[in-house]
Amino acid sequence: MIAYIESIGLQAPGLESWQASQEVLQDKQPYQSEPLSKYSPKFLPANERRRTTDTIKLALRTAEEAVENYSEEQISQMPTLFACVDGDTTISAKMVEAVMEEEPMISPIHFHNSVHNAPAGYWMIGQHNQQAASAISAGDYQIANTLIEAITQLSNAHPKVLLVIYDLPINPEIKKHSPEVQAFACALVLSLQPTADSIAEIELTLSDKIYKIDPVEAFPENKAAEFLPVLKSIAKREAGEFHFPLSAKQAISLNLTPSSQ
Amino acid sequence: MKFPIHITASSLVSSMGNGKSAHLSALKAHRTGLKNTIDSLNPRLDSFYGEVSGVTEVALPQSLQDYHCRNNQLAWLALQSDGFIEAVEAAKHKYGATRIGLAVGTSTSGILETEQAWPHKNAEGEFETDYHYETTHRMNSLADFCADALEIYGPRIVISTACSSSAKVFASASRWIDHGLVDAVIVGGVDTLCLTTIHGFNALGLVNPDIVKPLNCDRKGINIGEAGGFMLLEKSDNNVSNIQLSGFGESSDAYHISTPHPQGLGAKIAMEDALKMAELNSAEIDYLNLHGTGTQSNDLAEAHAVNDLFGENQPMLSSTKGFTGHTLGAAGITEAVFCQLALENQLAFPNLNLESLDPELNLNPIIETTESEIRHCMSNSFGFGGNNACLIFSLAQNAGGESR
Repeated sequence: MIAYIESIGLQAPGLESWQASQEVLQDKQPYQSEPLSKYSPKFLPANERRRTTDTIKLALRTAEEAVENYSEEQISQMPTLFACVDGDTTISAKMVEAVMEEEPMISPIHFHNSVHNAPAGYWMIGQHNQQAASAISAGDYQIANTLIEAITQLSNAHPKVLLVIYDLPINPEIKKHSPEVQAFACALVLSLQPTADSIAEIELTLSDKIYKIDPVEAFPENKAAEFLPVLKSIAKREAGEFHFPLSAKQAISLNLTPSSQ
Repeated sequence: MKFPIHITASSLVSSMGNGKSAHLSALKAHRTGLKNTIDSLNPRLDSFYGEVSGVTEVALPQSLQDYHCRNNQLAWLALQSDGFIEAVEAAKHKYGATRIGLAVGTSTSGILETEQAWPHKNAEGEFETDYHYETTHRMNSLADFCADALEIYGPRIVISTACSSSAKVFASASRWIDHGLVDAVIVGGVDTLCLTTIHGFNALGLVNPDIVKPLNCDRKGINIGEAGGFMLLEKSDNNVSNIQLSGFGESSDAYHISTPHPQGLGAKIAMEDALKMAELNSAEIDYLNLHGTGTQSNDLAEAHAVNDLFGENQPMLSSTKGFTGHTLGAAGITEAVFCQLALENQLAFPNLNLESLDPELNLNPIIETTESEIRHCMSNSFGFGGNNACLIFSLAQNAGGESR
């Protein structure tokens, strides 16, 4: 399977936007963690905008960055896939706390924001997009399964797909974690055919070899961040081969060929 | 679809019973699985519920103990039902375990496990040591459990798009097969009763204090049910089974996060796309299993979509939520199995609890189990976020398209 990366969004502490992160990704500047700047999804109507959570905002800001050079018409035609291992565990914790009460009262806003496809719902509403939208989780096998799920959606009828991969630290009420776990999100506009805007070609092949993923520096325990080495290679315009486990006995090999520009 | 996709095995467990024959008997006898009590937890809300009996007692295999939670217990019941595991074993033998994928839907995964662990944490400051967030509550738990239990190693995902989850799994499975990544895919869905969904839907004013009455004038909302079901999909040029997936459609309302598009626009797009893929026209659909949740807004929006699409030529149609309640992330697979039963038995199933059909809907649901020639069945599933999916199943010899 071959697809082309046409545009990239990157939003993580210390890596705020693909463009602004180039020197760090190219190892010309050291990485320094800095909180992401405040963000509000301005493409949403005000009443919807107010309801979005940190999890939803992380997904939306990354999607927005990836499509900033596309027309409204183009954005509205892209099937969109949101991949997140945990979803919004802060909302889960709040809802669970609420149902412990003598008279359980869950906030209606918390409830509809709790669905795994909440970012997808807001995105499709705000972008007037009536295409397919999905929300998935594959745990330890997140990147390989996510790439397959996104690339197999490309077709002549849907030559571009928007993919958003994001994960936040699990809410400490649900799971205590080491303090260095950070949020990470990236988004890709994938295309079926090479275009003038193609940044890189990616070719996926199945492999029966078993690979283990090394923790990604600065973002250990964050499944979304396992894609960061690919982004660094693109930033350096270096070809490379990457391996992501698909299951306990299968992996995908990702052959990366940056476009010559 | 490039290849015909056959359904070579399936299983279903819901409040109606364990296995397809139990469901067929209950459907024929108009026997609901809904009751006004739950044995396994205290819902603290008056309503009717679709509880599966015996889930609490299900023991998972020793090597899979970390997955222990109600959602995976129900999954295990459903995998063991209807000879499903044996069919998977045969497929593994035929194709190899790395050539079989798994796509399963759930809305809330094992959040009940966290609900049940919470009082101890509140009292003692931390969870008991046998609480395992990653293998129970985390959104990928159901896929990991099923893949480990079946020892299959192809692509595997949980799709969680609320109440369309286990309908959308068919679309992913078809694409994986079309791209040659796998030869067979296990699709399915499991959702279990928990306080979060009961009180979440109640907060939105969508829980019926009485039994659910889809398509009635005075419909007051949903009953929540639980269910688990699976289908084995195989790519084949031969008619290895008599039921095929012949089309699917996926769309978004792009309207509101928890209210459907009032004219059912997204629903209509999904239905049109499914027909187009199946190379059928709307008049060829013999039975339509509605999403039909029994809320004012869903049933009205869906009725608009059905009227726009079918015009004067409506197929036999019904909502089967009066039998199962709304099984949320398992609704897609539940009603896919009902479509299979309809095709295999040449029966259309009734819309229970219809007392005063809402004339505004302009629908004519069947209220008795009806014998009829059924070649093509359509099933709708719609979820929060305006997420829509529509599936079409056909008798193999009737499936449309040149490639078949």
